[in-house]
Amino acid sequence: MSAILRIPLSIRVPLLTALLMVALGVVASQQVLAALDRLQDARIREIARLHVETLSVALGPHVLRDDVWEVYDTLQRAAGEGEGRRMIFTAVADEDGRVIAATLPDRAPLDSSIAEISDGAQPPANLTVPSDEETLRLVAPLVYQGREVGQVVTELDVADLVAERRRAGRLLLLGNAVATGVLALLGYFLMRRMLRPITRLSQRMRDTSDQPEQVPETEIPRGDTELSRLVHTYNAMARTLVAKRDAERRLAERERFVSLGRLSSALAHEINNPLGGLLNAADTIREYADRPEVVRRSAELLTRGLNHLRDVSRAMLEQNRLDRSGAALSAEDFEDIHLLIGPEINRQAQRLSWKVEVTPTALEVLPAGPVRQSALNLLLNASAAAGRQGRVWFRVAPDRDHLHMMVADTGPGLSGSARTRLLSSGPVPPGGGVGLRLVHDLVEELGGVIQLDRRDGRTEIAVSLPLKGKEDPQC
Amino acid sequence: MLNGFRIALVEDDEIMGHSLVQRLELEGAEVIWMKQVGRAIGALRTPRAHRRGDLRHPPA
Repeated sequence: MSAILRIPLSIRVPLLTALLMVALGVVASQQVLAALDRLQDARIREIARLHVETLSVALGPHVLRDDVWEVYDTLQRAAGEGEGRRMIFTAVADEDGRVIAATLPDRAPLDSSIAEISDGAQPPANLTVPSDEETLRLVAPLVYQGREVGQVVTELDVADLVAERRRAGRLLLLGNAVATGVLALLGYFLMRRMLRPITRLSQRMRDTSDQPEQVPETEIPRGDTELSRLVHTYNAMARTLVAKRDAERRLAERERFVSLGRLSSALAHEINNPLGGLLNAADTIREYADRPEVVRRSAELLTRGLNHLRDVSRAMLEQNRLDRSGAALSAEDFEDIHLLIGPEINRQAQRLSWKVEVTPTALEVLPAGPVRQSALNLLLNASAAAGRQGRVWFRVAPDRDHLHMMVADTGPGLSGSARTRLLSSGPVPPGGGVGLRLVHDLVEELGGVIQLDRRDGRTEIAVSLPLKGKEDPQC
Repeated sequence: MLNGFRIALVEDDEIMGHSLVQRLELEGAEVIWMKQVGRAIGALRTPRAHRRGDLRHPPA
């Protein structure tokens, strides 16, 4: 049964149709053969009845008078003239069942019991044409003038009827086989044709399971059938899915700017304060232009401030550009993140414990973009969770084949929906940002693992990224 | 001119702090620069002290 169930529907239904056609052909042949049998039986019964009646009329008076020679003579004539020489052998017996004459005296000697040869003979009313023998034996009472005067046993030649039936049977079988075969083939191809849209649809779904593709208009069955409705429904689903993917991708792209946006007020402060200092220094230079040592010190201040501003703006630019750059990860990326998160940590008067122990070469296999985005999102999340004067930890350390990144905070721990967004690929519960989901997706893309731990009032999120590239994301 | 003034400066930004200290000293004031308000409290107790700084930073 399971083997049948494994056959695809597009083959199974046409096969079933063909089988039904064959079954239909077999039943029809049976019916026709049975009808032929009935027809032949009726014919042989009619022949037998006429034969017996004729004999009765011809033999009756002689049997009544026990005139053996007349009976024999009549039998001989009958045997010679019988229609188409159908009669092979006939014996006649008197009332007591004693043979008084026979066409072949050897088989039924005079005075022998008729019962010896009537054994296995049928009465005319029940005659049926045998399927394998070419002769038929019948026994009938000899009735003369309304009274039974003896018995007749006759053997009839039915070879022609048997042959006719065989021929008819063969022709019928051949014809039916051809007709059934044609019908079965026709049914098979018709069904395949009707099911082709389903075959195509299932193939399309199998081939493009992760990026569903719509069925082109030309392939949609015409009319308002179930099939065309099915294809239209599928197309609508495919459109929705593609639109959803697009929306998710746009959201993820926007998230890069969102994380910068969350930093913007702190970063503006980070730029504004040194700017004020730079303006002060410029004013001092103008005011004390005749004192070289003052000018020199102010210029040094200007250089330091400008360098700082350049670093901040470069870190922001990098953060904006990193998805497209495809650059390899380096230790500087972590310094950038430190610079970006710093103002936010200061704004909340938090303490940040920063420890990045990396050798430049170890990181090269990882792309900078996703790692920076993940680290920044986790840090922003930790800083927001830790609250005013909270503590935030950041550790990065590679071992032989993994880069371990750990972000911890003294916040209250992740909520259920935040946990879902960070740890599972399931649908994102409504509400809340997509920052943690983005971390999940980025880490998954890199073949990494995220672990969440909470102990001693600390929430720890550990990310392990394989340093062997993405050849085998399963391990 | 600020000759004779003692000023407690509370500023957490390096550049801004340095520029202010430099300028105020050039103007003749005596400047005590602290990064956080808490540490400036002692200086503020001195009667003639002025303060200038970034008040967005509450006491640590």
